[in-house]
Amino acid sequence: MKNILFSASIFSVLVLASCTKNITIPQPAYDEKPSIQCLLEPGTVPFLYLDRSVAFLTGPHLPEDLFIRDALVEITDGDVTDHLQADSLFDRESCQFKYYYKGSELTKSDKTYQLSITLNGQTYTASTTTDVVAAQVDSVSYTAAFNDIYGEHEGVIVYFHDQPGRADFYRFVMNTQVDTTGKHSGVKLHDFNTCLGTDTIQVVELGRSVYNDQNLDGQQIQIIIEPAYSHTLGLEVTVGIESLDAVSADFLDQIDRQKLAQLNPFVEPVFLKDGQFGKAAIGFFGNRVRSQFLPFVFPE
Amino acid sequence: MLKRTAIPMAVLCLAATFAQAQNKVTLSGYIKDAASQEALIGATIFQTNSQLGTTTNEYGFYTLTLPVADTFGLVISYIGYQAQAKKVATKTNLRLDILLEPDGLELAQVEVVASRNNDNVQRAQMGVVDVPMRAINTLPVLGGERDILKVIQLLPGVQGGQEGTTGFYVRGGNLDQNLVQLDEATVYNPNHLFGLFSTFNVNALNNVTLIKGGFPAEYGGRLSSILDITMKEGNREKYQVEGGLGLLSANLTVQGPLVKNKSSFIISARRSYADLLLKPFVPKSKNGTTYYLYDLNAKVNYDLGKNDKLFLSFFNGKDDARYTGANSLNYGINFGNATGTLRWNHLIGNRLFTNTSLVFNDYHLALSTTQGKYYALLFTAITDVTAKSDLTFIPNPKHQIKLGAAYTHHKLYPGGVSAKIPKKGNRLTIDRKSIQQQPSDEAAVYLSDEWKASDNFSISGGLRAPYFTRGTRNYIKIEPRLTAKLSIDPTTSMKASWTVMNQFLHLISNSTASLPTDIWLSSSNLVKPQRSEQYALGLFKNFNDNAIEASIEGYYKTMHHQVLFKEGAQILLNSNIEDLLTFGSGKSYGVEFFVKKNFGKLAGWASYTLSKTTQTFPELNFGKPFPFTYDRRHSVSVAGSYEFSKHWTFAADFVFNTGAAFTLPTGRVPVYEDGSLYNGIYYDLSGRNNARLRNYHRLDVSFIYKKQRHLFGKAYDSEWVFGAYNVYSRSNAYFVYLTTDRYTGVPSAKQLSLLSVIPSVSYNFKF
Repeated sequence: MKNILFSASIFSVLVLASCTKNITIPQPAYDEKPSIQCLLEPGTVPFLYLDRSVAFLTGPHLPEDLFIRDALVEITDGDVTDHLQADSLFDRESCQFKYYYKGSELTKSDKTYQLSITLNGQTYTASTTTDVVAAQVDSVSYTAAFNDIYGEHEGVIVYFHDQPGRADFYRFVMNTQVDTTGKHSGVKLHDFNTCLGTDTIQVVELGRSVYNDQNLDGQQIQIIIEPAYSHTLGLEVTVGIESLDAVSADFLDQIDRQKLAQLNPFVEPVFLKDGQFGKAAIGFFGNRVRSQFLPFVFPE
Repeated sequence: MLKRTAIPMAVLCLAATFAQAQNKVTLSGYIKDAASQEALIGATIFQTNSQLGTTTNEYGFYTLTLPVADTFGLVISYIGYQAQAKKVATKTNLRLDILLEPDGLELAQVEVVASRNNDNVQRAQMGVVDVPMRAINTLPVLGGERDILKVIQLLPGVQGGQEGTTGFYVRGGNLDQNLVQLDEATVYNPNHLFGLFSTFNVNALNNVTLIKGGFPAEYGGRLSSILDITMKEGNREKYQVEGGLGLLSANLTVQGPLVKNKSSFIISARRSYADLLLKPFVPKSKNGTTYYLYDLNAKVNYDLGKNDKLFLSFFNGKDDARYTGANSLNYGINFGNATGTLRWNHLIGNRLFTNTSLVFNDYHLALSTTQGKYYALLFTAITDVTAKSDLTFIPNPKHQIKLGAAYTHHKLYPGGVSAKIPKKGNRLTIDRKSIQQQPSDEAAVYLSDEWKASDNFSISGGLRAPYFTRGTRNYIKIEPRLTAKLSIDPTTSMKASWTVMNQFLHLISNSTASLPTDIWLSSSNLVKPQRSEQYALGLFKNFNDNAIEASIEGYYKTMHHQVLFKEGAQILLNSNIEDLLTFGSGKSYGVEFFVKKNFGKLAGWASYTLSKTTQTFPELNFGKPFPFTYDRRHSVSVAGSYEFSKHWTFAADFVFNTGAAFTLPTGRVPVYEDGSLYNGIYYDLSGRNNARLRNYHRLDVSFIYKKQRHLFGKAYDSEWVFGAYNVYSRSNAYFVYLTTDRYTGVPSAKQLSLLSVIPSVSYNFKF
């Protein structure tokens, strides 16, 4: 009997002690394609990110290896054509270089812009009209605990008025400061970001969800956002709302939902649909406008 | 118009067959085990000179009508029993109950060649497998626990699910498309220990039949299979105690007469003791690992008279587990099934057998699981009350007419939520009270006839008409069932079948979570009943005087109104689950090869299935067809036992399956304007279920040592079972998950393997 009990214990432990190991999965065949991301903003020069998508398991992962340098990128409003040039900037927030194409002509409101990218003999085109209207932010407050599809979290609450008579899409924007003592998404920054010194840097936080004004046309809208970076009592920030055109909103909504599915294993996977570039390229060419920013002081 | 002509036609048909029977004699009765008087289901009785015969039904009853003669030479047989030859002299109808003696050794069959059952060839039935209880009792399984579902996974056209689990998938159908019935009560979740073994205690079982195609009209409500399990009735001759002690659990079965030759009972119970054994090894915190399960079967029967029998059976099984370990596998689960069946068998004359049943069942599953920073809660429950009546009329050996009606009231409680784990405060909770009940009603009537048109040609035709209503939505369906058999010679036949099935309850599965985050829903305005149409064609051949059975069956099955979650669907506490669903269709086709040896020291079977199953959903996978998660191109199983001596038996099984399909991103793309909480790496998903896990294969072995021993001067049978599951410790994938390094952005795949080689020893006894 003793032997049986001993064996039973061993068995139970064996059954429950599942093992995990890294495995090699053959990379499915994958045709790389350009990834084009550009949000025009009236009053600023165009920035366009042009990378290549790569094989999921075997492709390179450094930004410089993904960036497509030798493309001819043009944006025109019919009168003026802006030839965008490849450029880069070291980004301390992500601790790596960012590569992009930068224009020299300021974007104007209420214009239709044509994008043309010529790459390896193939041309990718799209257009956008800069008619997005800024929201009017009314006030900002804070809640220590809030429940939504992401679970329970603290939240910065923004109240703003929707522009009546049109379909609008909104995202949260916050100008804040970060130093090495902080955390990003609950993880200490100094654990993975060696670029931050003891000083602070300014960062622009973008919300992870895109909201629309469906059934709220012209009304006051409230959105509650989980800040990406930790904060201290009395930290002063400014909070605003970014209005997006429908095409950009649709793409950003897809990636938001996909990321939620990547992180939460109980959410069904989200496939990226064909957008403005069809099957030839991933991404979007759209525009945005930001509201006025209100100051806000974290109460804890 | 159809109705006007159909009823008189049916009456005429019945009258004609009845008139035909006037110059004949009907023998009827029960065929039972001589030692226990347990009903023998599927036993054969036939007249030697005419070869006319029949088999007993699920209550052990037969009726055989023969042309009038001075004497009838009869042979009665059943696997594992000594065949009996009988001469009967009668000019009038006769009630003839028959007792068959069990073989001293199951394998040392008395070689009454003519007695061997060739039903598999000669009956107008296909896709039906009587699962041999001998195989269930000898084949090696996990932890030494004998298990019917593990044996079923070895049959052709049946595939297992995840590593180690007892979930089975039949001819491309989903888990919910199997109707598992224990004494006519539906068992919605026939699993124990996260599915590692089944909820059925084999000591309490009499018969197990799997139907995967050519469905008789008396069955309905599921698209892909019927697993019909009958509990033992209890020994009417003497009290009997049997039990076992394994590494996982102990079981005890007591049976015996209540009133000699009139009534008997059986009670069988099983409980695990992992929770008790692990107690010293795990922390006492409430989040520690713990596990327990139990099941209890009980049945009482009573003969009200020669023509009336009452049965009352009860089953209750429960699992409660909490596991805190690897990051990807933290969970708590509590689920259970409870069923109760009251049945009344009544004979009207000697050709009409009726069964009327009142059935209750209750199922619940509460699951809480954590993966990474997220958790999910799920609660799903079903309560059914069913009343049904079935009538079997056998006017002559050429016809077996069945008709019946059934009504079920369902109450479903579907609910779930998933969210990020709160940094402070409590997680959400969910239970039966917090979920809106979904009541619905399901009814059906059916009529069928198995007609032996000539010596070579038989046809089994039937019609079932189910009706379902929920709220203001009603569904009425017609399900034709047709199977035809053409004998080529006494040991060879060809069969073809066409069946239509509807299913009103649906199990909605999450495609990515590693645990059974499945929710039962009933049909509604939005969720239409699932419907399948299956065509099958088979060649059946017996060799060596029916000692070896072989078959090749091909099938083609379409499935409509299939249900899956939409892309990005996330169940929230107050969400209407139906809004998260998307609908499509499925298609499965394949060919199954099967060879089985029933007799001799070496017995067992081998099967190979080549199949393909795809699904098409307009809102998923860009509207293109994709492989069903449990699509297996190749499936091989070999199972057998060899009796070395009176004391020693060796048994083994080997399984090979093509790896399960899963969704693997093909591309990766950086996004710079995404939310700041995220890492800027996104997936380019080119196809759903576009990749495969590693091929699955496993070898299990066991050695059984039997000996008669004595205790206090009383003889009893003892049995030691030494086994090993997954002998060569193949690391089969339980599931694969993807992670991306936070710092480098490099993705990698990880595989969780659950069960390496697991030795086992168990001890069984029988007084």
